[in-house]
Amino acid sequence: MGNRSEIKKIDTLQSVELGDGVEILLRVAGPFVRSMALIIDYLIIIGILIVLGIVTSFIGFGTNDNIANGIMMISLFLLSWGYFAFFEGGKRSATPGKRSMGIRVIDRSGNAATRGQVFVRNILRYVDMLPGIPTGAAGFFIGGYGVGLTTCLLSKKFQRVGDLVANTVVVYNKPVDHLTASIPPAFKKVAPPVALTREEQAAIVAFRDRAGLWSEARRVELADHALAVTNAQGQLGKTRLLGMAHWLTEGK
Amino acid sequence: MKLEKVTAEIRPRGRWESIDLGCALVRENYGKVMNAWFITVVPLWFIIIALSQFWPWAEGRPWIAGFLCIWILPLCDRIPLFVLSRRLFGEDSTTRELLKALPSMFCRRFFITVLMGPLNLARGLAQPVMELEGLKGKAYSQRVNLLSRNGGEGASQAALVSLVLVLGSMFSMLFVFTSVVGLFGDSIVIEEFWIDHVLDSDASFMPEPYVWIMLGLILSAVTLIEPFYVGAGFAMYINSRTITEGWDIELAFKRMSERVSSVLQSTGKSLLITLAALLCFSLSQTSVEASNERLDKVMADDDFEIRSEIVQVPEKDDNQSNGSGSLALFGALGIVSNILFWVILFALIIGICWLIHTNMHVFRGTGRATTSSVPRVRSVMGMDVTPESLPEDIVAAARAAWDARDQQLALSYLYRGSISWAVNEMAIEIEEGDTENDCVQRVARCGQLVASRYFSDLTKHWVNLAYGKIEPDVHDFSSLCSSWPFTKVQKTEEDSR
Repeated sequence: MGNRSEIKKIDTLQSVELGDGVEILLRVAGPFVRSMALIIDYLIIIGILIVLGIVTSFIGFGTNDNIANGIMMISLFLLSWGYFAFFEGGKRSATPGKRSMGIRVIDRSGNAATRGQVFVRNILRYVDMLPGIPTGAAGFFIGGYGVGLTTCLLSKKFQRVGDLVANTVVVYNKPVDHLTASIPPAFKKVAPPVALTREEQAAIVAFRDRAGLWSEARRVELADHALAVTNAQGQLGKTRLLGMAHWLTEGK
Repeated sequence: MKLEKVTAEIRPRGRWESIDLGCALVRENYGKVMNAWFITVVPLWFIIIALSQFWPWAEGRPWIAGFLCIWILPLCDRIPLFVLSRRLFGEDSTTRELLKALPSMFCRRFFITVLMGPLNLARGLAQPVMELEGLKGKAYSQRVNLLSRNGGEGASQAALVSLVLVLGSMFSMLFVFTSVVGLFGDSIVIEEFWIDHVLDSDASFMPEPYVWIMLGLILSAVTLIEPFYVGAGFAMYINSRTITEGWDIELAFKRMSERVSSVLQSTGKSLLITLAALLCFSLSQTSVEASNERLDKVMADDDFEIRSEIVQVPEKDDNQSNGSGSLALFGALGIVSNILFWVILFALIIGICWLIHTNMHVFRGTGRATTSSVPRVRSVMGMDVTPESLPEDIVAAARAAWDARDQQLALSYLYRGSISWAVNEMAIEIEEGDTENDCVQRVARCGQLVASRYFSDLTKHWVNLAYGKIEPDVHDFSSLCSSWPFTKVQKTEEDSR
């Protein structure tokens, strides 16, 4: 274990220590997936605006043109300032785009983000957009997200300025469903010669679960790396390793 | 390739998580990647731009140059990949190595790459297969297919997102550029440009200089974003190899073997020691001793030492560990409000002391303020009643005013003079807001019959004149003057007589 912690390896997991000394790992989401979520959100906003534009233009035929304009302006304001904050402040703490990408906003400590934090990070969205132009007539701010992208790429937890100020991170919501393909289990349970650590047990079980993805030669090659435990080369070692996996999962 | 030297955490990841790992990988090595990019790709772009100057049609030159610069991007991608793939396994690639590898790097599958250009969206994943495994032909395409099915599904999405990121950063730079030009140059030029040449121009092409500027912006945006795209593709490649070849399991098994063999070795050694001890003494006593010795040895290990550490966490630290920066602000606010509280408390105490001091008579039991302490009103009903504002001889002044046919002034002299006298000499408490009637009542209450009768008479005439514009008779006025009771001089003269 010691040699692992010597060199800090590059990883996207961010560890957070809770009050009881328990360490949890946050799976922080990076700029690519967040950009994808943002693109989806903006497509939704544009879609809503197009529908509203058609509806209000019908209203505009019947009544005063100003009413249609007013409705359009108000909805534009609400969408541009309220869309993100409304959804992120909600129960799922994710906009529809974020939900579809399987990510959500949380506090840096792993707790749910408060409404205040969500509000702050979305007010500062306009800072993240920054090199941009306000289109005065439309009341809309078009930005290239230059600041947000830069800080997101450079900060360790992929935080944009709004996240840094509001103390939030965007994390993955769903666990990864790993590809598994197991091969027929071993007949005999084999107890490992020494007590194994948690990671080692997990590796042996994962070997059995994913063995179907590999060729027989690769299985044997991998099993050879566990020579100290199996105490046998080649096919026999592989069979013993599978037996150990059986022993570990099915009970002693 | 030595898997043990890998500098990133190897484990099977989800589609987007592997891309994030690529971003983190590029972020850690951004300087090296940029370095390699600037000594290889940027000169190449300049060569292309220089060559494009031979194009006969001047307006087409930036378009040709831009097209070629973008089209050879798959070739350029190999440079960040070269650096990153070595950095992943902890190796540093020198500039000489890079330049040496450059020709073969560019030549590999040159025609197919140039033919497809950046349209091959999955190239992020396919490039490492070609570059690092050196596969060709059917084996190459089979391998790419296998990898893209197992953990490389996000390649085309990553390509699209990176395209969006390139466009986003290009527009960011465009905004910065236009605002800088607008600050230091002629902003009208920009507006004219946008209006004349972009929004409603008859020409099918933008003017040449602007296209060159746009090209420069696009290429700088590509320079910023492309390494991340390459890193994302490379990380996807690593991820799919992790899944399809069990890299993480190989690493875990190697670590396990290392640990277990060292554990077995040490147990073997201690068994040997025990056997030796048994042989030497062949006494159960000594074997007990030996085992005791071994027990002591084991117990002396660091793991059995009980360490206790008492940490007293002060309240404040608890607050800070909540991690919110605004709490520091609240702390400062707390200090300020504390100071404010004490200041207000002291002010209150001092104020109460002063009140007690000034109202000492209440406690002394005299029950009356000394005359000197009661402030005298300076004006009543908007009229100045201080002795200084009135003439010395009020009656004479009033008569003079009467003779000058200014009845109002004459009566006002008398009225003001009488109130002034009542306030200053008789010490009647007339307040600033009192009406004429109040004054009459207050004067009557003080008990001086002559004065009060005269004052009520005078008030009647004054009210008639002031509100009703009814002037008093000459007779009345002269009687008012002659019966003027408020004269100190007269009084003192009378007293002295």
